[in-house]
Formats: sequence, C-alpha cells, structure tokens
Amino acid sequence: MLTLAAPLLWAAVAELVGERAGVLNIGLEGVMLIACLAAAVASPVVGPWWAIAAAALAGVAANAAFAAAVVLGADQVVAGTGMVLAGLGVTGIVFRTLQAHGLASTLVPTLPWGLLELGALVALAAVGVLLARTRIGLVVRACGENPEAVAAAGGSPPVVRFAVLVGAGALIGVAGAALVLRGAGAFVEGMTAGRGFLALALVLLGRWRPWAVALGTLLLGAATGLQFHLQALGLERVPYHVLLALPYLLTLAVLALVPRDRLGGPAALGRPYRGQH
Amino acid sequence: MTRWLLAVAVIVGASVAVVLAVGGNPVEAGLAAWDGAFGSGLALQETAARIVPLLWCGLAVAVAFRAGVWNIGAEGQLVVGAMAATWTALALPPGVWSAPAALLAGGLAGAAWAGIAAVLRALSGVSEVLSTILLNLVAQAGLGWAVHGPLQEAAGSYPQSDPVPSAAWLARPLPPGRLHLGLGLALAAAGLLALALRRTPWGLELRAVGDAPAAARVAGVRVARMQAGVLVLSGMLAGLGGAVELLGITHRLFERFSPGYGYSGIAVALLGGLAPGGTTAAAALFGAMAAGSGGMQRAAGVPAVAVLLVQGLVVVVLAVGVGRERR
Repeated sequence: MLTLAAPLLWAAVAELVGERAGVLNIGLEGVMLIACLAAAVASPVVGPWWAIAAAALAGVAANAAFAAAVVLGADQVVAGTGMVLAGLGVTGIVFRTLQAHGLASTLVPTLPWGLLELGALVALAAVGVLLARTRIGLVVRACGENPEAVAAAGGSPPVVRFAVLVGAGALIGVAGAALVLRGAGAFVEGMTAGRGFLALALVLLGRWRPWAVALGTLLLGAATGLQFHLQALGLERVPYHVLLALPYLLTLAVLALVPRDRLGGPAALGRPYRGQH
Repeated sequence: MTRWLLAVAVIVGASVAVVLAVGGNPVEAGLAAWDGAFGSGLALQETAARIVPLLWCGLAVAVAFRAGVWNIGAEGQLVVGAMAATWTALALPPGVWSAPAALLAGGLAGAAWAGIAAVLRALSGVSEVLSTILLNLVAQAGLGWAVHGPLQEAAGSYPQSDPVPSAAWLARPLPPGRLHLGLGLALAAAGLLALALRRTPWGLELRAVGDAPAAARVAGVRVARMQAGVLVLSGMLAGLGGAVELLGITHRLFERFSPGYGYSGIAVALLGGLAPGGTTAAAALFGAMAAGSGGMQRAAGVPAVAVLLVQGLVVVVLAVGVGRERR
C-alpha cells in the first residue's frame, strides 16, 4: 500500500509546497514523466541508487523551465499544460530514439522496499514543519497569500517562487524514480498516466495541510491496492479499465461533496506576481 | 504579430535542436518536412486532413478561454464524441441520416461531458481546470473499456471497433487523398463562431465576461450562467471534432484514437489569439507541421512525437503573453 502511494506522496509534497508559494503546477505530470525516463535510463548505467539522483536532477531541470515561465508572469494553468505536452514529446523522442538504436533496456535494476517509501513520509513531515515552523516557511506561505506584502517587507516573490519550484522539481524527480525503481521497473511512454494530476487533486482535497494530504494519499493507495487484490482473487469481476478510472472518479466524487466554502487555499494561488506599480 | 514570430522561432529552434540531437541533418529534415506538408497534391490533402481535428479543438479551447473558462478537457470531450458517433453509426441502419445522426450524437456527448464539469462548478465550486483534467482520464479509460467490451469488433481479435458503415463516412472528394468534408464543416463552424462573437449580443457579453467579469456582472451579465454555457458549447465543438475525425479519417474506434488533439488545441487557440480567424490560421500551421513530421520521420529518423514537444514549448512561451494580458 505504501509502495503504491509513494510516487503520489512525493508528487503531492512537491505540489503542496509550490501551491503554498502561490504556484499551481499542472505541469507536474509532464515533469514526472521526464524524471521516470531519466531514472530508467540511468539505472542500468549507474545503478538504481544513483538513478534517484539522476531523476531528481531531471526534475529540477524540467521544473526550472516551468518556474522561469511563471516568474516571467505566465498564466500558470496554460504554462503547466504546455509542460505536460512537452514532457510527453521529449520523453517520446528520447525513448524512441534509444529504441531505434537498441539502447532502451526493457527491465532496469530496481530498489528494495524502504528508502523511497519511508522517505516520502519523512519528506512530507519535513516540509510540513518547514512551512509551519520556520522563517523560510513563513516567507514561502506569504508568497502564496500576499506576495505584495513580501515585496514591501524587502523580499522578492519571484526569487522565492523560483527557488521553491526548483526544490519541488527534485521532489517530483524522486516521485518519478519511485514509479520506475519501486514499481514498473521499466519506462513506458505516458507511464505516469495521470498520477501527477491526481497529486494536484489530493493537495486540494487535503486543503493544503500536509497530514491531511498524506492521509488522503494513503487511503487512495489502500483503495487501489484493495481493488487489485480483489481482482487477483477473482472475487469481483471489475473490468480493468473501470479500475483504471476509479481513482479519478473517486476524486471527482469527493470534490463534488466537499462544500465550496470549506476549500479555501492560498489567496494568491495561480495569480502571476506583477511587481510594484 | 509578436505571437506568431515567437511561435515560429520556437518551432524552428526546437525542430533544429531535435534533429541535431538525434543525429540528423536539419536542412534535409526541413526539406523532407516541407515535402510531406506541401510537396504534392496528396501532401496538401494530408495537411488539410490534419488541420481538421486541430481546428475543432482549437475553436473549442478558444471560445472557452475567451470567456475565462479554463477548459483543459477538450481531449476527453473529443474522445466521448468519437465514442458516441461510433455507437450511433453502428447501431442505426445505414442510410443518408447516418452521418448527421452520428455527428449530432458526437456533439451532444461532448457537450454532456463538459456539462459534468459545468455542474460540478455550479454546485460545488470545483475548478473546471481540475475537473476537466480528471474527466479526460476517465474518458480515456472509458474508451479502453469500450473497445475491449461493448464496442469491440465482432471478430473480437483486436481492441478496436468494427468500421462504421460507409454510408456514415464523410465524403473524400479527391481519393486517394484524405481531404474530407469535415474540413468544410470545421471552417463553417469557425465562420459561425466568428460571427456570433463579433456580431451578436451574446458574443459581446461573452467577451465582456472574459475581459472583465466584475464589470460584466455590474452591467447585468449573468457571469456564472454564461461561463457554464460556454463550457458546454466548448465541449460540443470538441465532441464534434471527435465525431468528424472518426467519420472522416479513422472510420473506427481504437485506444490511441487521439494523439492528444485536445491538448494540441490549446496551442492552436493560444497562437490564434483566442479568435476564430487566428485559430484557423494556427490550425493550418500545426496541421502542416503534423503532415510534415511524417516526412521528417522517414527522411531524418526524427520521431513524429517531436510535434508534441514543439507544441508544448509554444504553449509555455505563449502562456507568458496570456498571463501578461490578463490582470
């Protein structure tokens, strides 16, 4: 269950910290896909442990591109969608070119249970403490609530948002690594299959609180795991594609049931920072 | 104008970089792409055929974004439109009504799929960004289920539907080329939309809602209702696009029916400045690119998915412009 939830947890932490700084990152799905490919390419060459680092680096690089657009004042939803397309495109090009040269390994070395699962919980707790208890966390949250006030106090919202997104890129990278090195054991085109979007929904459902996000993610992981078990046991003849849609339907249902005034969220979420006029 | 210059710079720059990265010759690849898009009558027809789904999705996204509705769900709306069109064309006895009925079903299905997001937003305040993305994933899973289950071909060997009866196919005037009637339908839709946006009170209100929702509200426009309606209209356009692509090109349903037309529609609409005329021009550019990418793949070994990377980069770059115009 924790193994199923781990990639989502890492991705949700990344999305959470970005959103607390006022940046909605839809592009997470694309960045995660790029990280998956990096992990799969690196693992046979440098081993699965260093492949985590390679995936994190790839995540940093890709998310930095998104961060640059955001800091330049891009509409975040639109730029994020572009990142999803670019992620699909760039991984498709690299993977097919490697395949054409016979360089794409079908199965790559993977990792034992442990670091990536427990690390996800630790990362979530650490980010929670960082946001709630430290000065840096205060500045980050202020950028999500009222960036103009940060600027008035002598800070620079664009710099903070850029730094947060670069850091989040590393977390997204680890999410991709967890998917490949603890799950599939290979790269498949489009393998993130909406997990990045799901992380987005989980942050919303957890109302930007780390422990609530963790709880939601673990519940979703448990539900998915249970379904697969039931199917394996033949207890329930649920078609595979219905299972595939289940987490998304579940999320939509919960979103529909949570009353809108309970949602809230960072006040400046999704709003480009314009600077002083 | 800056928008087009930027986009062309991104397209050329990214394409050259990709060709160099896979060890090809950019000049050769460029000539091959030109040949694939414009080199012969057949190539021109291929470009025209590739424009069609991009134009439908581009129009769907443009009208929504213009009204400040962030419909990221054209992809799912297109897929359910194609599913509904397939089911209708297979279920009805073939006849002159086959194509119109299938198109109608596709449009209605797309509208209904977007309608779910509209209802969620109206009742529970769920942002359409998230709901339409999630509905895309559900639609894709639904398509997989359909072609493995109820809509699977009678032979049962592949996860695809039977071909729809030829009575439902959209006419191809110049075979063996793939240019089909759907292009005319899409252009007509673009024309109608342009008229409606520019010449009707509804169009004026829509633009007001997109530009200044608070002012529109003060002026008596029912903003939430207008935006819900636009979302449904947007879904209908994307659903029609799915139906048209099915009846005009593929004639049957399969899992990879859409290589991301709905997302490409965002690139098309942004480059088109969210106006029907500009969107048509942008669809022509991206359609030529799609047709050219086939030639490039054969000549220079550049995978055709490179188109997605280029479109994505165009969207990221143009997003800066969108963000700056608003607020």
